[in-house]
Amino acid sequence: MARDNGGAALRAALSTGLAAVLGEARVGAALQLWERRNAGGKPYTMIEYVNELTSTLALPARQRHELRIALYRALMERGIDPTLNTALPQAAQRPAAQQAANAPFRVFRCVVHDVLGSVRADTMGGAQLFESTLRLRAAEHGLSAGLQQALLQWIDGADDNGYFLRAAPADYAAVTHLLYVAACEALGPVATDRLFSRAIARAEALPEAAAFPPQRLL
Amino acid sequence: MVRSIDPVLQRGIVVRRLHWLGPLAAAFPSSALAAPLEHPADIAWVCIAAALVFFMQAGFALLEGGFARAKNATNVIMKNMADLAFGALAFWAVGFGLMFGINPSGWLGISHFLPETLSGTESVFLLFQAMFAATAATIVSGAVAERMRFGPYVIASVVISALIYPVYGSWTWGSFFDGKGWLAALGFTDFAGSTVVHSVGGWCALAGAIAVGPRLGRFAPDGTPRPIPGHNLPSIALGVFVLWLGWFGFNGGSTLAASGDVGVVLVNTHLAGAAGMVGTYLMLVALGRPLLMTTTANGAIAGLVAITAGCATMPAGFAILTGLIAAPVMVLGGDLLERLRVDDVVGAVPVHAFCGVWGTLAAGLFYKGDLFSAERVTVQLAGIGGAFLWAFPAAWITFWALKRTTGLRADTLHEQRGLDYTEHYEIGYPEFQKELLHGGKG
Repeated sequence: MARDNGGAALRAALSTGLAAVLGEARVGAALQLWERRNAGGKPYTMIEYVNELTSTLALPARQRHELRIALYRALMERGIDPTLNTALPQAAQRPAAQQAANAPFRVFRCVVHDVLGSVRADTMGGAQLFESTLRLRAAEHGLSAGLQQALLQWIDGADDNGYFLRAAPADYAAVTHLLYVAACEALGPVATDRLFSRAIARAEALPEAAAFPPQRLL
Repeated sequence: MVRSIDPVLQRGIVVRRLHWLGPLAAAFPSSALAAPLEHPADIAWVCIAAALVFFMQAGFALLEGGFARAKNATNVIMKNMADLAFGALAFWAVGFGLMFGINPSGWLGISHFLPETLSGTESVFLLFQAMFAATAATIVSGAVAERMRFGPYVIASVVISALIYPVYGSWTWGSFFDGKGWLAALGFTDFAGSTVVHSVGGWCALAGAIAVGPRLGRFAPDGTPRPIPGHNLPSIALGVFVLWLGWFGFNGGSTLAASGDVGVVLVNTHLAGAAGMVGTYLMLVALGRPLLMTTTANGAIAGLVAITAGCATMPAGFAILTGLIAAPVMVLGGDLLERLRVDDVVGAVPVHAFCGVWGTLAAGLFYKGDLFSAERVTVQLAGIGGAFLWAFPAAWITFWALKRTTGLRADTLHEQRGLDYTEHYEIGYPEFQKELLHGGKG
């Protein structure tokens, strides 16, 4: 029952966010895309959803950004963490202590997903360069073998087997820096600073940011 | 202890010590330069000129701070202040003696280190020259901005102020007391320092920029340059205005006399600065590039650098031509550096080194009464080459030694956070940078 209620809350939040940017007429089709994707049971993040939706509807980049912000705002107004997938309604009901314990990871994941989503959206070949730089620099930056492997698995879209959930905040900062370096090489320093600035600003909107400010990743 | 000398005798000594201006005075367009630092008005004018040259440091700080990203602005300005302060002490302790001390060999001065008992006139001269030394040193900070650590930079600026700049200066402008630099003896003309100050500073900047390497991500793997815009363009423009103002002291004060000669020098200076800016507009139009304020502002500086050598020895028309030609030298020189993947944040090398070279050559080509003299141009080339062969390797060795000992470059994490925070624990614009402000000082 709780899950049903959570699902309904999520749907309502998505409707509100989508309507604010796309208008009521396109909400139905957009929600169908969300439900179709989630039917497979595979984790499906908000960033992926927005990217796919804007691609399907051929929306400009600026509107993609507006859409993401509107969805985040609508979800958070209903107490739903926008960085998680459809399991989120349950997560939102977790005890506060557990939420605080996972705060660094959730903030970290939000930043990483945002950065990766933006890099992958680059149409100038930056994504390939980013990933090759990341692989090249991972060892140079003194990341442990386990951290390197987990990061590369994550970049490849595979499960990291919970490695990052158990990792220390210092590891998150090291990985974030590596992402920064790779993004600088791939996109240039100006675009990277903007990208990280946006990612940090978004992570600041998470409830967990009170327990773990995203600036600690920098 | 204050040295007491008979006033008549002292005046004679000062005039004799300024004998290095003799060849220049003889060739000056208005027949002859007035005898330098003879009258109270001369002293007053040179003091004012020294203050104007000092104010150029503010211009450099505004210009270089504006060219840097917001997260590095404080660091750049700190470097400007540090090279002024450390450089002043280094120049007083060692540099002045090397540059203007008794120079029997023609290669460097060997007296007047740690000068404590200079007369008032000598002190004014030292003050004026200390400002020049600071100018040479501060050129480097713009080229290596945003990635060179503060400590090694300070050490390098001390070496430049105490050794690299004064040694070359002694070849051209030494000695104040006795002897003569070997380039001066050849008849090398560099009135206020296109080569002595600007090219020497520019070659040091080139060595520093190569040694420290480009900023993270400045060039794509295929070598394509990625522009990194400065964070404050109004500051850049204001910096150029301040520098332009300071140049009136830089060139005008180099007469060392409050005479009508100053007018010729100032008019040539102003016209060349204007021509540098106009030439840059024309160059950008010819190349089909956007009329960037940053580039045209640098064009004015390019014209001013170029006219510095010949502002006292060429007619106004040639001063304009010198400024106009400085523009393509600066623009194409910047392109060349980018092609070579040298990251020069403010364009210090094309503006100061390359345009200093052009200006020194122009001073020989357009020498009043001896236009296009092959002999004079040959001497000018010797001076230009001498500056490169001394300043670049000396600076390169300095930066290389710092790289191997203290380390030269901020690590990538510090580049990410910005050198304002990692080097000085404060940031220039806390209200606007809070989202990127690291939470700890680790």
